[in-house]
Amino acid sequence: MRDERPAPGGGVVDELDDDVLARRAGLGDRLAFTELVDRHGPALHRYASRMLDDPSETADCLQDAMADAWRGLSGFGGRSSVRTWMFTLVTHAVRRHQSRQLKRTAAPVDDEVLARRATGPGQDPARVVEMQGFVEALDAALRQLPEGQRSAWILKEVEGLSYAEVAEVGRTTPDVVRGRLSRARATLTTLLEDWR
Amino acid sequence: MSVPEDQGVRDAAPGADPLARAAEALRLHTDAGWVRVRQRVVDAALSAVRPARTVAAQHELGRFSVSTDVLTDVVRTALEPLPDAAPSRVVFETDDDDRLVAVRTTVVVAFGADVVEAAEQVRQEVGGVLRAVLGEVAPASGGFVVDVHVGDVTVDRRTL
Repeated sequence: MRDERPAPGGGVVDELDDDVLARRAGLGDRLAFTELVDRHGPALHRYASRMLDDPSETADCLQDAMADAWRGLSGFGGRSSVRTWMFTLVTHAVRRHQSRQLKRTAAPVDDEVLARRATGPGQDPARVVEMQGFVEALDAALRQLPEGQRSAWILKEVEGLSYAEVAEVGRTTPDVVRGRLSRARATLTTLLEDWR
Repeated sequence: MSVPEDQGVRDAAPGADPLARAAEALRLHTDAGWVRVRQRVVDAALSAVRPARTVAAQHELGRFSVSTDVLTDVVRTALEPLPDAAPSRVVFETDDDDRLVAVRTTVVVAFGADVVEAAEQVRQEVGGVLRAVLGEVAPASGGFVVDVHVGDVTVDRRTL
């Protein structure tokens, strides 16, 4: 649905580029900031919820990350895209929450885990084609991935970030991202084999 | 993210590459969780206090201080009606007594606009609104300096 609220500085907020919204929000424009959150919130939530796997933690994490965004926009220099920057803030918040909660990050996947399939007992993928079921199976598969691989796969394959952007979010290099993605794909391919 | 229009349907279809289907399924799947937390997230973010300094103000009722965060918002709002320029950055300089010494406003100007005229409009608006908010507490040397820096030009006025 289009957001036809007039932007104070002109234009319609949902037609404005992220950079323009970020510039305005950085100067205190709450409407511009809210549009940025509405624009990227679903993807950020999708990402955070699969990194934390806890609805309450996810909500707290997003609150923290968006508060960081509001505080940081006045100094946002545009060195990365606004979207990448917001994913970076969420990633930092995820790590803080994991650290605070002493959440154990997923262990590397071993052969035994790889042997398990993401489908439940007795499920027949040929008949279960609903999106929800598939998403649940995918979530189960994603939980098997180590954090770095899970993050890289979601950011690259689901959210469409480039290798360089994924590397920036994860504070690593594009080569490391390629390696993580390769391993993530191999694991997910195995775990989701029944859905082929 | 650029996805060919029909790719989603193709990728999500049973029989397609499961990883492509998985990625597409997640993209198409709107988490109910976001809908539930969205307002809470926005409210919490907007109530976060930005790092700011204080600037002294003086009015009939006495002396008080104003956050540079508030002043930035005041300047932005004052410049909204201008047709050819919009602020991208506002920096305040104060003396040891927190009195405003200078305000440096970086602006984006519409392509084809008279830059000198646009800058002068910015200077007038910024100076006027800050004098109204802060009262007469600028140093006795004659008030604060209003610097305007044209940092960018845009061909699309809607993006001002």
